[in-house]
Amino acid sequence: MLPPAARLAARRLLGLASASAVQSSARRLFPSPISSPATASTAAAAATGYFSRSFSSALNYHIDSPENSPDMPWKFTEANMEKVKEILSHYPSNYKQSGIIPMLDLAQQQHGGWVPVAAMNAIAEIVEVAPIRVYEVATFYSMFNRTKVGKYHLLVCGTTPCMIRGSRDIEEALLKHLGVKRNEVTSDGLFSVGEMECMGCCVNAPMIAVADYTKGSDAYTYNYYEDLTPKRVVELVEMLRRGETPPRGTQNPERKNCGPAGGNTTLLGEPIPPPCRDLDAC
Amino acid sequence: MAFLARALRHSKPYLSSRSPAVGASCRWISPTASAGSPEAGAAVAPADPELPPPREPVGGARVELPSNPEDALEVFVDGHAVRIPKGFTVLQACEVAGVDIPRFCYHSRLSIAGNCRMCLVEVEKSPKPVASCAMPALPGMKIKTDTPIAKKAREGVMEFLLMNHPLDCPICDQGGECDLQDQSMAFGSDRGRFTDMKRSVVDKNLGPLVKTVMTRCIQCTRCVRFASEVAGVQDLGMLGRGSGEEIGTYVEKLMTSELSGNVIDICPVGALTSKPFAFKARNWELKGTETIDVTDAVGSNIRVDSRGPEVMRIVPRLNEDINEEWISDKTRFCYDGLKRQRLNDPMIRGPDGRFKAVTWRDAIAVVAEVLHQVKPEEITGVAGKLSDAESMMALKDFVNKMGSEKVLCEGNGPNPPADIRSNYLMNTSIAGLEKADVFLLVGTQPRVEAAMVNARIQKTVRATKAKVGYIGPPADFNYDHEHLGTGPQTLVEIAEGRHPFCSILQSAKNPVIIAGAGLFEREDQGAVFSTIETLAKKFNVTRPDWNGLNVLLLHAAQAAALDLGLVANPTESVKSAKFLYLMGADDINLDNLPEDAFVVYQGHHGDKAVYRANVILPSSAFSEKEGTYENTEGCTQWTIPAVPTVGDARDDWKIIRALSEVAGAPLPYDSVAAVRNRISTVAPNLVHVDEREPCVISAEVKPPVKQQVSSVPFKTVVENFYMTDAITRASKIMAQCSATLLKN
Amino acid sequence: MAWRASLSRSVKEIRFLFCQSSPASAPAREFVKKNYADIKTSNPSLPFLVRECSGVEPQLWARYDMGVERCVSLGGLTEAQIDKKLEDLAKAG
Repeated sequence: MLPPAARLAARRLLGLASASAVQSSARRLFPSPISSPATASTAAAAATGYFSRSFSSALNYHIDSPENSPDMPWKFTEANMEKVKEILSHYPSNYKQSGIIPMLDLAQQQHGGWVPVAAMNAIAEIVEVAPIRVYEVATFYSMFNRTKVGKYHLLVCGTTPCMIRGSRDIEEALLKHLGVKRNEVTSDGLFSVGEMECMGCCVNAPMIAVADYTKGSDAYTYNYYEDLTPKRVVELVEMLRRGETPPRGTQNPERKNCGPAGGNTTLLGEPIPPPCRDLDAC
Repeated sequence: MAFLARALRHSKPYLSSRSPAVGASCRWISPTASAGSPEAGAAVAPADPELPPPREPVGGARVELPSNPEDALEVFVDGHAVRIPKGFTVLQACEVAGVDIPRFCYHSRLSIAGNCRMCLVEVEKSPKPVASCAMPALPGMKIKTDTPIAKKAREGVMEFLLMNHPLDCPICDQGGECDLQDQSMAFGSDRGRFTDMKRSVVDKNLGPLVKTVMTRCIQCTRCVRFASEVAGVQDLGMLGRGSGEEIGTYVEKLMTSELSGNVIDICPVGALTSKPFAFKARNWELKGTETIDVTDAVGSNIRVDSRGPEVMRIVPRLNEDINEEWISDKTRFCYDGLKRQRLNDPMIRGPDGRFKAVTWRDAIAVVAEVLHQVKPEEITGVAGKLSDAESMMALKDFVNKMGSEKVLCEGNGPNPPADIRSNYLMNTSIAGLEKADVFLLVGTQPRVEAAMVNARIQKTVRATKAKVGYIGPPADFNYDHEHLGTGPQTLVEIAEGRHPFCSILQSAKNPVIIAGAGLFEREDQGAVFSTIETLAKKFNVTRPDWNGLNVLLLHAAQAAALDLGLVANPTESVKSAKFLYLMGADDINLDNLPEDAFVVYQGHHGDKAVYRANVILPSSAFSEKEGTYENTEGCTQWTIPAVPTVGDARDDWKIIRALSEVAGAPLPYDSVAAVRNRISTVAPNLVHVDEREPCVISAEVKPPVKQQVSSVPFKTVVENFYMTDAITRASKIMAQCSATLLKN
Repeated sequence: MAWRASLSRSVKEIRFLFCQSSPASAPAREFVKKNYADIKTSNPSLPFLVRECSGVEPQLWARYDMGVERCVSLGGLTEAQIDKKLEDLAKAG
């Protein structure tokens, strides 16, 4: 006879295990060697716990590695330094720290998709704050990658509208094709897959965004590829691998932007002007 | 624990015999329609004789209403009207009204964060409960702290906090003094509804002093705000977001600040605890003794927690004038030095050079015998850094009675300026430093010499953007400062008006000059101080209403030594000594001591000087004796014995008294009161305890100094912050700190 | 004041104790302010301790050899009288 709290807890765990049909991709990401129900459910529970906690690819503390250590010398390039000055000109001189976010973004683009600790220290010096303040900003936002990502960082939207349109299958297809786990970089350094929140393309779900770090910070692009199917997304990846630029936006040839397949059924002409306003008289 | 007491007090009506049907008298229960409205309460208050007297502010605090009546306003807390100064928050208004509102992230000495939400109270006409720590109190506001909404809010917040909090109470050091435990007992509900997985967080390495178990952290950010505001080092931050937030330094960085131990007191849960004290004791086993710290000249007020004969830990006591609520790391963690290298038996060095333990009778007899064999002018007495005023008085009296004038204290230099008190004290007083707007630090690095004075300067610089100019060797400061120069030449330039810093000094309303006691050791000490005094006169630093000329002393015994007149020249006294009486003096230079000098070492640790001693007389340390210590601002304080003394050790002054008896020159006092009586004839301010006697005779009465300043630059006086005296040198924790935390 | 020059021969330490603000101590305060420099110049190594403390009766202490001390109360004395007392103490040693 279990006490009520324990019964509730057990029911919750079983509920998680039964919901694992939806989270099949989750279990495959963290495969448990023994597929007994108990460990499977704990794996699912652990998996849920993991997913519900952190979206960022990295830990909230820094681990030194040969390519990421505070004594690595890092500077903005000359061109980027100009951009930095332009960024700083937007903010009052005693509030330079407002420029931390755009500068981190610039540093990320310059460094090929991720921000090393040395870059954060450099930004701290420019902005005249203590480095910990920059670390706080960098760890807060999940789009600042603090560990290495691929030259093409593929971000799959996993929010509800995309999810019910099959974004889990897209992600699964990508991961299977590239042979990596989420947030892991392929061995040739070209691709990595991460999850993103809703990017506003719910009408064209499911979609991915591709952050293109191959051409440095001057030619950095962040394009959406929408209306995907598992087959199409693999094609896209291969196109990227060959160095081509796939057409951005909806991948469904019958749709135009967010219009329906087969053309718009509304908004076919110019919108009716507002009734009372005589624009010429103003 | 105050919350628990108050909660119990509030529950009293249920236990009393008063009938609950009498609505108006049971005011603590959730308000009914009639008795609930504050108007009814306020109207009833004066008339009803059964009502309790008006509530006292929390903790017996005194509330100073501003003199201008425009600046005070009236609010209603639970029906009671209170007058508060303008600018007070709702939480502070409730404190004035005697209601202690539970909180985790709010701390009266730190900036307001408002992120724990435990302080939610109901304010009339507000749609939601209000975070009282952040909401300014507006005139006529009706604040209700014991309504169902407020109670439900507290229970809810507590439930959320406990959701991810590990079940560590049995193994957590904070148990028994944990804010979370106390507030959940007083304000939380009895059951939780959380059945999912709790999150866990990796522990961070902050050094050998602060133990971190970050899973217990409730993200109140008190430590982050303390580090950046009070300690002045921006090391800690809140990384990540949401329930995955972690407090840390991001990169592996040890907390090297000298105030880092205070985060242990500040953390409301067991996330940051004392590493040396980990798993040693529970707080209810400890007996707290309110005493004074002697590791530096600040005289921070501490409470020594002991269990039996052992000092388990040292925690700060509140003293607004000296150390507020903080103590430095050295003060906090030196206690384990009290257990090592202790001298516990009188010893005499035999002919083979080895020490042999003897009885007190024999030891004193031997010393007295030698005393009679030397000439009076060959007797020298040296008091140590940690000596209390009673023992220094006894030493001086005894040495004088034996016919010698050579009694001195370590660290006061060749020509101690003991005549005029304002020449060696912090005349502005430590609390007075807050009013300054320009600081000129001459030859002193307050961060390592007197960490609490540095904390006060940091507080002023942070609050008012005060300017700091520093003359001395390049040093680490945790506030913005201008490094003006390295030696007395810069001082001369400023005194003559040739330096750019002069304009800053000129425009200052309350300038402060702090000269370090390291300057006492210089050959040109007189000239340097004369230049400083000229500077002070020129820039209006000393005025009838403001005395900004200060000397920062280094050791606990210095001020009292100078007050009592221990002014011999150390080099000459040591050179000519045939009988040297070292009373805890380990840092005196004994190079010139004659080979055949007879050295008696009276102290509590076998530190440096015992190697040269012929006789060792064990005495008690500061935690074991009643002693009078005067801090650098002239405030006299008493230490209280917390633990029994070690072995056969005795109080310093008693040993000298006994020696004087056997030597045939008995001192005229037999009790501590009698010694203090004698002290009152020499320096009466040393018997006015906990009081600071300001000086009216200024340095202007001194004759002009003909000496010139030399060009020797100022030196760093404290090389190793963690090891400055016998107790800290014997401490293992301090050794770990020196090895890992010093910035070199 | 010839005796001032030979002060340090007989006296080993001089102590002035007085209150910072009481009128009874005012002559003592003035005496110290006016005469300290002079006495100190002629006796540079003599400890001339000035100890202010609130509520204390003005006193002058002189310490001689072998720790013998002599005290004179300065209550009600003028500056000239204080000077005379100091001289007496100097000669008594």
